[in-house]
Amino acid sequence: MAIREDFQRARTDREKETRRVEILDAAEALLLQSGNERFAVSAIAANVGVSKSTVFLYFGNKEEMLLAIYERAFIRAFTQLGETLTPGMSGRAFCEAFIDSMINFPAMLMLRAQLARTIERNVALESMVSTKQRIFSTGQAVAEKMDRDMDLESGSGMRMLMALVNLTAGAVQADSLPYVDANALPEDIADLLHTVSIRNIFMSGAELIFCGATGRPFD
Amino acid sequence: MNIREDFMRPRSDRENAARRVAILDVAEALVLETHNQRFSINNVASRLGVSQSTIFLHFRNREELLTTLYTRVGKNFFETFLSRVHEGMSDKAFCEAFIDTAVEFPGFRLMRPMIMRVVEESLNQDYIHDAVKEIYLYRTAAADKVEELLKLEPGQGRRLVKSFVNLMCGAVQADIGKLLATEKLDEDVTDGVRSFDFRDAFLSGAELLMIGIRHS
Repeated sequence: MAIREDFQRARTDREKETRRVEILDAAEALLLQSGNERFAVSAIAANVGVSKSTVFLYFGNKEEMLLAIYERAFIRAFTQLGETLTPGMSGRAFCEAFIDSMINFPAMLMLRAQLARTIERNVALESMVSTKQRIFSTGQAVAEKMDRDMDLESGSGMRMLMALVNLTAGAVQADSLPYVDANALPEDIADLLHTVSIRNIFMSGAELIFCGATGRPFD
Repeated sequence: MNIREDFMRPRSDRENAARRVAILDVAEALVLETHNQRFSINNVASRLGVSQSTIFLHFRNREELLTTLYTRVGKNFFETFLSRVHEGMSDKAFCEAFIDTAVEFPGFRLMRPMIMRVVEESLNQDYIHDAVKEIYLYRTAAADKVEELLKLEPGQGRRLVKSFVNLMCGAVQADIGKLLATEKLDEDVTDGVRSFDFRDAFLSGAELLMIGIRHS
């Protein structure tokens, strides 16, 4: 390959990996700060202190980068969840561990909303397939640990996980309601809005899902 | 008020109401076509063949138009759903009626993730409070009817409907059309992602919710 020496800047694999992580960190920080994915690649480059073309050495386009952030947040969230699982834990403890791990890595839910319509349409098929496979095996490992630790029928863990992820993704959409000025609302609506938080909405549905999947009491 | 006569164009209440509905129809069509709500008042006006100021006779600003539309699509969704459920139907048929309504009336689920930005931008406007109240009223009415229909304990109808809406809005994100068109996946991965199909993913979770609510 005829790349000019000053562009190549001979790096070891380890240096390259460090640079890739720096770029992902900067992009994720911008995503979380702005609350959406409409930031510019040049802003990421500036924050890392490299040129835009360096960013594109690591990611073919912005969507490839977003997909990588999604994958990393997904794997981190589910790794955390997997580590929290303990044999015989109650349904409530499990559901609280679940929502904690989702809230700790919010990039996953933020980007999930964009996956099908924008991100996946703009990445190479190979990236998408390999990402899905890694995500799937991470989820499956957690699901199998759930089956064992919570003594579930085989496959129940996966079914419960999928339902909980969908419930959370929907609950996130309603989370801003409490910002409505409660003083201006009639009392019963104000009461309603106070109960609206991702965690409360999630736990209310998660209890039903847990009991439906296991037939056991929540506590 | 000193409004020029050509802007006033005296209309009957009925004509006014029809114009208002026509504006909302156009705005809804734009949401369904683009899957976002980034259209301008000008887009709505030109498609309807009226001036921007005509739109502003009916809605003070874009935020009021979007909030009103969100209220309307939600009401349509819940009313249609309720018209399809009846006493004595199976829990499975009940869940299917919900997801089939969501598939046929996508306005509600399309606008829900976007509407909060509008709400945050217009917190102190009275139309936001009116919309929140109206949404609250028709949702609780729908949930109470569900409670009666399914013979649930008091309060459980609202809990079930809220979870159904969240599950549905989360499930719709996991659209896997492109992925399933490929042949690069192992069989078990394909089976795994296939269960992420919108309708199936909802029904799988909804069944758990129904069993859960029956046992609670």
